[in-house]
Amino acid sequence: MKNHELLDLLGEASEDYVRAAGENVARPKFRWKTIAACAACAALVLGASLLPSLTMEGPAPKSTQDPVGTLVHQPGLHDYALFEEGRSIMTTEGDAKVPAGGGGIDVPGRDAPMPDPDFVQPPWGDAPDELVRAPALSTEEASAQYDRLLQRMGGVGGREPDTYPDWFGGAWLDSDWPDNVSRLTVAIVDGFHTPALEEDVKNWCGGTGDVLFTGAKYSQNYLNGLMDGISRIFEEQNVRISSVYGVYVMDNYLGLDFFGAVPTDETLAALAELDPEGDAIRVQVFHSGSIQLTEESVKGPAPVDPETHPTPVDGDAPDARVSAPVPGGTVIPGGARPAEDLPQAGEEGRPAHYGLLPPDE
Amino acid sequence: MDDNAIIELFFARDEGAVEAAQREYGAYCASIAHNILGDRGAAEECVNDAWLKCWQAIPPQRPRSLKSFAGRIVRNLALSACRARTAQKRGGGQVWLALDELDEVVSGGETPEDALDRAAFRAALDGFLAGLEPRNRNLFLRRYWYLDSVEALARRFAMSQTQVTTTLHRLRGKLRVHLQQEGFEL
Repeated sequence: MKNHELLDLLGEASEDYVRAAGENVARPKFRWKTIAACAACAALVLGASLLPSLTMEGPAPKSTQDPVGTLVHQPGLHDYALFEEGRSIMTTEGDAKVPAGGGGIDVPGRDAPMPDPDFVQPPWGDAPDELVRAPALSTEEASAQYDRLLQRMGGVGGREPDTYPDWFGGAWLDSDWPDNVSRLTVAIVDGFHTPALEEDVKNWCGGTGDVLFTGAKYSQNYLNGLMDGISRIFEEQNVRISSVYGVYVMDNYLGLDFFGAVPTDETLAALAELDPEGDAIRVQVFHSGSIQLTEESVKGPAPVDPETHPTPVDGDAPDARVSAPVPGGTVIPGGARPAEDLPQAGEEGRPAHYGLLPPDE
Repeated sequence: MDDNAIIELFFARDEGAVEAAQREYGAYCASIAHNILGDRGAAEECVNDAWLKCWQAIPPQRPRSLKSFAGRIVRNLALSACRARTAQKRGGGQVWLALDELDEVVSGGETPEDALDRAAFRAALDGFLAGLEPRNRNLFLRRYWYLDSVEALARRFAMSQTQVTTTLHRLRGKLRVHLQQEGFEL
């Protein structure tokens, strides 16, 4: 049997199960402790941002005087990437319409997070080749390692623990499907890395030594807490824009996608407070523009003459369009297509059509 | 408008049936097609084609659930469209990833059309799904029926992406064992 035949056959699953799967949504747990911690952090950040304005002489960059002399605080706005279907892509960074990072306020770490001068770069930083050369386990074994790690951190029955250790920045399997081998990678938050911790983690995972380590700026707890913070903002501001959000563990940020409308400045300001450095939450807005379908956009580009354009051999030409997070949100995580793949306005419009029957195989 | 009322419109050959069906289930169908095709414009076309298929099929058919009926048609149309468009593995939303994953379950060998008893397979598949915890069943179907991305699943089920990946890996293993025990040559 071939995989596409199985995929077709899976479409014949019981209607009741399919319907149930279509309706069932698990919501993240509401963590009061995390929210309280986030609120405290937000208050600290807000206080810290106001302090220089109040103590500096002359007009402060973040505040202005109104006619009666009252100090008016202008909150920074979180930047976002705008994806307008069929038209263009833009980010708010450097855009005059919506000030990136808060009305032109220079937020340290927004574009290129500055390392802590006291932080000693762990050995993985300059040796990616070593990661690649690390021996792989079968996917089953690597999964078991991950389960043992979860269990050690308080997870029960293969489920995630309520809270993670502060050093934990996430873990994932780097899988090589055709060979069915995987490598468990554990991210350790910058500043927490010690050889002893690395050794402990290896022991918890099974002590085989086939665990890879990498760095992370934010802990899993922090990113999970941001989810609760966003929920709170949405509730408080009664945000009605369709949206989804979740932690991108491998890329160490929380992705927040809005569909159909740009969030208000009030929402962006609240997000900026939640993410003072501007890189923990990546906001993308998918805006419905008028779509002009072209034959190429629907059916793909015309076949290339193999004689004049030989097909590259696997490995020779890595696909640059594969999602890879880039600060500023110019790449869509989660397998969505980058801007250059979107149909462009101005192309010759034609009715969309395609064959409904599979080609002869 | 409820299903029965919309289906009655189909039976009355009232063109408002398609409009009502689109209003009620358009977004649901579009999400399925978009997961598979990864292209909103093509997904909308696919949904339009699905309503045409519904118009042709009802009557004589009277589906128990119009939502499921239309969803299944959209899935089939989108998979067919995906095959037609992606000879070069271009686009195709989640399909190629899901197919790669399903390679673990099947051998990749040829199966003569008459060698596969689809009714028996359906029964075996439902038996497999019935034996899963509801959460795992929903996760499996969201991945391989709705073709949701791993990221979307992580959000929907409040899990990490790693957990989603490992859980799906185990479920595929279980499916392979189950189908082999039921006598299917994979």
